[in-house]
Amino acid sequence: MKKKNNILKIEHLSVAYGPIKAVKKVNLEVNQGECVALIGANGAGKTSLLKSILGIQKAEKGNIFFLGNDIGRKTTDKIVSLGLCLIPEGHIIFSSMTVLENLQLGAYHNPSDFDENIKRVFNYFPILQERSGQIAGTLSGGEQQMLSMGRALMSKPKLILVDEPSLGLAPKIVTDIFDIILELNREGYSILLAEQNAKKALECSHRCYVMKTGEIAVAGFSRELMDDPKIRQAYLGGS
Amino acid sequence: MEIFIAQLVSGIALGSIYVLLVTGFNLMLLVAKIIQFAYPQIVVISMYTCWGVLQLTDNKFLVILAGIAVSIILNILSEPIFRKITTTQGVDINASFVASMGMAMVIMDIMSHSINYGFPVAFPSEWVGGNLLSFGLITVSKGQLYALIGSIIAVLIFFYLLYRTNQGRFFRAIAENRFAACLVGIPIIKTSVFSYFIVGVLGGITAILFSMLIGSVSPWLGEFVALKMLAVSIVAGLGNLKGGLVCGLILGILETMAMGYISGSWSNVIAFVVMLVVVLIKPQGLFGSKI
Repeated sequence: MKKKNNILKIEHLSVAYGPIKAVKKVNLEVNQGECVALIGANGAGKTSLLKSILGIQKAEKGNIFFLGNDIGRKTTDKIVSLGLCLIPEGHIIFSSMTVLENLQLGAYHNPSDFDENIKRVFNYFPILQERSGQIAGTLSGGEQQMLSMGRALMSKPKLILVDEPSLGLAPKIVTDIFDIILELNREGYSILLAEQNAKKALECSHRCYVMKTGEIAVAGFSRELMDDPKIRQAYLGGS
Repeated sequence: MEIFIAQLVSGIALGSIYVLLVTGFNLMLLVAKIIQFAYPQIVVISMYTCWGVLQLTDNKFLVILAGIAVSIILNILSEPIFRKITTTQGVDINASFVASMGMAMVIMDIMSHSINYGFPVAFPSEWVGGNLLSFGLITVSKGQLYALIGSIIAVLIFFYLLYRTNQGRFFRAIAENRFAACLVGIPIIKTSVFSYFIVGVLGGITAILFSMLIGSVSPWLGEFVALKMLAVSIVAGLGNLKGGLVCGLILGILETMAMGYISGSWSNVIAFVVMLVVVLIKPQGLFGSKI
């Protein structure tokens, strides 16, 4: 773990909502080209961790380095402009705008390569091209999740944080979404994936952190964790 | 019939001023997430500024420039105060309402103590302009025409900016989903300061057209208008820009009709009773609230 090429490095990060500590002294890193999973039950602090990386939730203590820059005190717009983006849980989109407008907003910090980026996004999600003039709120849940992902890709990010992409979606669509995450990773995107569905997350990631009540309980290579009987028992339903 | 047309003409002119006010107010509500109750007071100060500059010079261009500049400056000066209130994650509309009410009272008191001993001031006749045409009871004054044409142009430009430009898309993004706007990297504070600027320009234009329409200004004008602006916004649906257009015009027409057919002193009562009934039937506003 002493590789120099880490893209994201988090040291002793704590996040608190008043007296409630959501994240406690977490250390975590993501290397270039890696897909790292962050698993844990509902309320383990995954979303708080991701939000604090992006500066949406202020961290109480600790440092966050992204490509060598200390981003712990920066505002969200500055962090996004450095090449970090979050695909939030529950497909957060601009529902009264068209699909195209949503994608245009995603390119806020990267308007110059718009044509090239939108071609790539339409390549991943052909459905978005078909529906580009449609009002985003009328899309189905799965399509909205795809739009949310497409919008994030419009900024040509260097690291993508994904929060619960499978939440509230049909199993078939969940498989599609994970296929796309795998494909993105294969194309060279570094990904940090927070997910309750431990099995899916372990399958598509290189390394994994297990969060429990705000702390990292276990960390290791996904393949090893998948074979670990304790982990199987606790997070994979024992089978 | 003559009365009807005469009142319709002045109603549309008055309504177009309400439309401008409500549009600025709604933009603040949507982008800056505040209830800017003091906005009409800023418009009134701008009107006083126009009057003051008119005492010094006949150059109308300078007058217009001064009116708009004062409105922009006051709007932007109010931004840090509101930012203090709205820093916490969500939006505290109640706090901004109290703060802006206080601001409105301070502005009103300063005006009533320091300008012309609080008496209304009249604009010179070359600013207001005489009647353009008259058939019997129906008259159209220059001021009415300017108010109407000016507000149509201002509203068209505003809506073009909002729905056809990138900057407008950023405004709408923040208005619709602050969290998502944050995620795509829109600088929330910078963009909302820019919305104060836009509303400042709109307020200056409103002041100029309003002064041409009514030809006088008093310290209490702002408060009358503020109540109507708030009421129109609520009746149309808070933050609903298109609804504000329709309801602003309707209020103007309703008021002048009441003046023409019943009695001038009852026009406010009638207008507000109608709005009360609407709110009772549709609490979310006629066109639906956007916040």
